[in-house]
Amino acid sequence: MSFFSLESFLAMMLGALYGALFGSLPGLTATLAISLFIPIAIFLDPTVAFSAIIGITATAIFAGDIGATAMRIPGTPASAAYTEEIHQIGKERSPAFALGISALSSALGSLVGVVILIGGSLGLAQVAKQFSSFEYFWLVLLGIVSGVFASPSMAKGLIAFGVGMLIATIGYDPALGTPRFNFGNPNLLGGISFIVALIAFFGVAEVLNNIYSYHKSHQPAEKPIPKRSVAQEFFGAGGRLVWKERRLLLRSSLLGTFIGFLPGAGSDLAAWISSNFTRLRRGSKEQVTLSGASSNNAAVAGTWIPALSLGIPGDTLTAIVLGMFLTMGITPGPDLFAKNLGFVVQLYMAFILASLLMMPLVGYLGAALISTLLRIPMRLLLGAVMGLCLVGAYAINRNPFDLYLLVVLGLLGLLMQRGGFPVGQLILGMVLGPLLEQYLMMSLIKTQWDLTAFFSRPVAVVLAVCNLLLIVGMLWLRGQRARPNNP
Amino acid sequence: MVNPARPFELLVCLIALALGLAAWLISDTFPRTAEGYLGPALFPKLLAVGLAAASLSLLYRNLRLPGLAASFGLLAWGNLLRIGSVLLALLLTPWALDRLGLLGSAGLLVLLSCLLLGARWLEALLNALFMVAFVYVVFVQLLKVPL
Repeated sequence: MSFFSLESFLAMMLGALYGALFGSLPGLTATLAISLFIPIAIFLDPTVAFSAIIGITATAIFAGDIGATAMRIPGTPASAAYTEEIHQIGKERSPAFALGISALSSALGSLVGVVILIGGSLGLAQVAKQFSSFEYFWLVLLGIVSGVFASPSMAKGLIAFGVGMLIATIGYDPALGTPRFNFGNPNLLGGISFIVALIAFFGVAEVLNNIYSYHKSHQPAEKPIPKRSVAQEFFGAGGRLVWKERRLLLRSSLLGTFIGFLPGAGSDLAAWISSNFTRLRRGSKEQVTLSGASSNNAAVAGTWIPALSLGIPGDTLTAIVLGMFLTMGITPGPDLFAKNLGFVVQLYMAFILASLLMMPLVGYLGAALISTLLRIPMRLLLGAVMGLCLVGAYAINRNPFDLYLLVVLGLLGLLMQRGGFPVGQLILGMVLGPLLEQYLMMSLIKTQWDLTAFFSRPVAVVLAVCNLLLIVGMLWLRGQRARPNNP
Repeated sequence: MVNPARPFELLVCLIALALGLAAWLISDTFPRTAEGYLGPALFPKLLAVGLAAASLSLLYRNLRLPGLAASFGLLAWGNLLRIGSVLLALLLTPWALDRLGLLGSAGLLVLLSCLLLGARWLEALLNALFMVAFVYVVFVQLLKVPL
């Protein structure tokens, strides 16, 4: 089946609407949308499943701005970077204008990211063929280091990554096949299911978190007096502003794609860095919103570059998507382009279609239906999410043991969320941990435990230096930020 | 200012520290390589060191700040009990699966979660029935997933 069949187009459209619903509602994230869709996706044709996933990822990040505009509550962490500004625009002028800036700059930012994805991943695939276990080790470590520094607190980032990587050590070890930490339980021999962990850490933990604070009622949206129609504000005024700020949009999109490309960084960090740069240059509310929105959506495409070409996820979303690839018998990495070139090309085209058509369309629908969507009571929606978590976790293996894991991991997710620990980094740790161990052990075994071998190849040395520079640079940046005269 | 996140931060630090110590001790029992190197124990031991260091530094910072007792006073104990009820219901689900099947168990869990989130009986019941119908139509009828 092709990505351009009616079924795939419908799947993309439905995925876009589904993603927009999740992204726009506070408490429901893009990651949760994908996690809950996985149990359905694994039973679909790969092209239909990936069309829907592209639709979800294309709109879910943008739709985080809907909750931010209407209620000052970002629907996704990526929208948090410019919530204050987009909410003010919506309040002072109109939500349609605010969402017009956000949707159109998200669409164009995503398009820039896709163009770089097309060129970048093919180039990287060629480079990646030269990689041995040493280079991969440093590259995966780069993802972990950037992920730790992307966390607001380094210690909390380290703990989240550490716990995630430790959870991933349960079961057979990836290098020598020794069973570890299974305590004689055969259910743990194969390790903890990644999908069950995802559902627990995002779905169950989110419902529990809402139960913990359920007495706090959300304030209704303040409704400005509309001066012009939704279409005029959304496409007309929003479009004019985006055109006027095209240079800023391009700069932010390029920055976002680059940050998205770094494994472990993701769209949240892209939005924060980009909107902070605009704030530092004393940009207006509209400019801050435009730079943040274009950057985080460009980063979504950017995260797919290492995912497709190296098999290394750029963020939690691509980590899930990589799991999907493997489940469907498609191995991401340099060989993907040789073995599944047609599939990859169609994937790119689907990305372009999603950027150009789905984002503005869903954005417009979002602006028009904003009040209706936000009227769904959270108490009912979250209750339904709990039911879906149960069905999703059980449907994977039909193993009741997975439900016990759902309880333990869901509780851990709640504690981490309430304690301000980045749960997304824990999930990244679960993906990157086994890779890091595999490349570490492979390198050590083939060199008879000679540590100097990690610095014996030119690309490995370059990547090691990149790790060092990233650590030094981020420590310096954190030091600058911690100064009392630097807000 | 009293930080309501502190008790949770403290608890996660203690869990991480305990996990690190357990990983260190248990990995001592893993076999070594033929050359006598650590082998499968190496990576867990590295993680254990990292976890212990990060959690101890965060614990030290957390305990040094004033207002710890006051932050415990902000805990919503009633809501923690509600969370306990949902988790207990989830723990009992494998038992319910044999008697009610997945759809029935999921419906019950939705009903309980909605009630604990403050929904009224009727709307919670209707929501649970809608969920069961949704799962049946999407998973069983449309996608042919054996549940």
